[in-house]
Amino acid sequence: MTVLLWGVPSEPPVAMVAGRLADLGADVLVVRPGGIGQQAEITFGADPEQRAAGSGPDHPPVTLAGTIRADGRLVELARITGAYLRPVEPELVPGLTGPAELGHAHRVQEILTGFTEAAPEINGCRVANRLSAMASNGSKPYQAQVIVRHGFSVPDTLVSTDPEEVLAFAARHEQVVYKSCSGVRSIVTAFDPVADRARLHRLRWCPVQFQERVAGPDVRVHVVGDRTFAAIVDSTAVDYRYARAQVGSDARLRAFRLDDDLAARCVALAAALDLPFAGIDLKLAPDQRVVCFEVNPSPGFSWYESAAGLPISDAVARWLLGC
Amino acid sequence: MLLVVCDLDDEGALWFARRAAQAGADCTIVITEALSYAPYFSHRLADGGVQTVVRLADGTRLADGEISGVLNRAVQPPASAWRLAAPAERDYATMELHACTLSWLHALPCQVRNRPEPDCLAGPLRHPFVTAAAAHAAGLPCPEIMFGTTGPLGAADTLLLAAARAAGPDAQAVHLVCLDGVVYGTEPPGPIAAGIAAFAVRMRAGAALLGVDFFAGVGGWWFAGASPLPDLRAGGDALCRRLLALLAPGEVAVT
Repeated sequence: MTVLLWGVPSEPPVAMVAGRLADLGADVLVVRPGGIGQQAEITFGADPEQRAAGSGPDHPPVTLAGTIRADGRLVELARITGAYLRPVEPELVPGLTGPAELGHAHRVQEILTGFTEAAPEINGCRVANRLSAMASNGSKPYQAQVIVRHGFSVPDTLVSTDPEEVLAFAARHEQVVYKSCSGVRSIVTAFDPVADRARLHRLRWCPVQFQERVAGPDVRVHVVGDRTFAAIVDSTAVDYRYARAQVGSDARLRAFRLDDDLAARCVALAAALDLPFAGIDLKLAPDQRVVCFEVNPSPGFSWYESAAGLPISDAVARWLLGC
Repeated sequence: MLLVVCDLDDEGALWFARRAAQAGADCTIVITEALSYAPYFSHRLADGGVQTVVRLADGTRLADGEISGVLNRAVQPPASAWRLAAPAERDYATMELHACTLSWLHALPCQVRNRPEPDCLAGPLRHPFVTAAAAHAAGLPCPEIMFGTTGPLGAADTLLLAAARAAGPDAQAVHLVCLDGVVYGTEPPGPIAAGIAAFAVRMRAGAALLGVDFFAGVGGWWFAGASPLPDLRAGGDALCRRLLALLAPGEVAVT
């Protein structure tokens, strides 16, 4: 069996998972974004042997066969039993500028996407995570609707183009933050009704998401299959990931034990979003609410692993290997 | 109010809207470009639920409780107003407007066909390999697909071409409209109709409008692809009646 790592090998999450897979003796195929030196072909169709054996019509067997050449070797797709995805768009790969190079890179990307989308159902390949499943994070208000259905609170939220409505919303809450609705430019920023007032007319052309600022410590939960790894954050920053810029010192992390019910809800939420590997952002509010902000479908977990001592990469590697 | 959200050139959606109005439904067409220029969008979320009000430039008000059903054919986010902006700003705004539109249409308490999905505002759209696997598992004749880095075609076109070849010379393209697992318009052979119902379920599209494409010829019927944007005109009067019963219940007499 071979595990496919689709991403930049030097990027910490990819490097950490690769390292743990190596520790476990796994065969790893690294596919770098950009398609350079890569070829792939894939065949989808009925399995001729099983069809001849006369399997029932309700579940006719199909196979996803073919090969991929990458990292200087040729691997049969049937050997790939796990895949960890952190790809980069070809347009963002340095030095990849010509139309032929870009076209080839997109072609490799389409084949790998097709394989990783279809393989879990067809041959049981473990994929963390399918690109289609990652799309839910492209709309945080949409994700919030799924989050509520899994028993979490969500912050009181207004997405609006109307300055007066935003000011009224801010007046109802002690503190308000704003952030993007999509996954782009997603930095949480404190809203100042006085200083920001002059800019509010810009909302007219694109609604912005405003939320009550929820007090209490942040907790990041990484879900890997049915396991959870949680870290609690010590920081006064509005967005603790940018604590140094916002409050002058880095956030401190330490491991945190979730109660069984909360852990189960996190696992169920990730599963509902078709995410075997997910990073869930929670706040433990003083009023006992467990407020969930979002589910990250491609968590850059390396900081949490090193700072809080959580064996996340080991869990991902073991999940990919099914052990 | 029956709401039809579509692009300006979506002839199938506009055909349905005309039929709905002729049948007496209170039908409002909202072109996605009009959403882009809407002066007011308010979308509130809390533990208790979601509430949205949109006001268009012509004064039309779209509020959750006043909408009986939605025919959603939005393909692109309503970002026309950003067309001439700097690329980085335009791309950001497009992502934001996608996020807002997805959340709004997904949250509506009424019937929506199709309810948008994160990777496609128009509804269930899967990778061609996933689509083919679903068709195969549902018992629809599905051709073998060979697809590689050296070939000229994308995955969807490769499937289409393979189906045409399998159906034999002079094969005809057949476009079927499927609403909630039922085929309207052209009547396919019995096993195909049964397979399409199972296919819709496997596509997680049991409550959705789907276009399901085949090539039919001397070699039989072969699955060629699926889309969340079928040509509604192919479904004819029967599809119109069913959609009206679903999206404008009580507004029109459906026979």
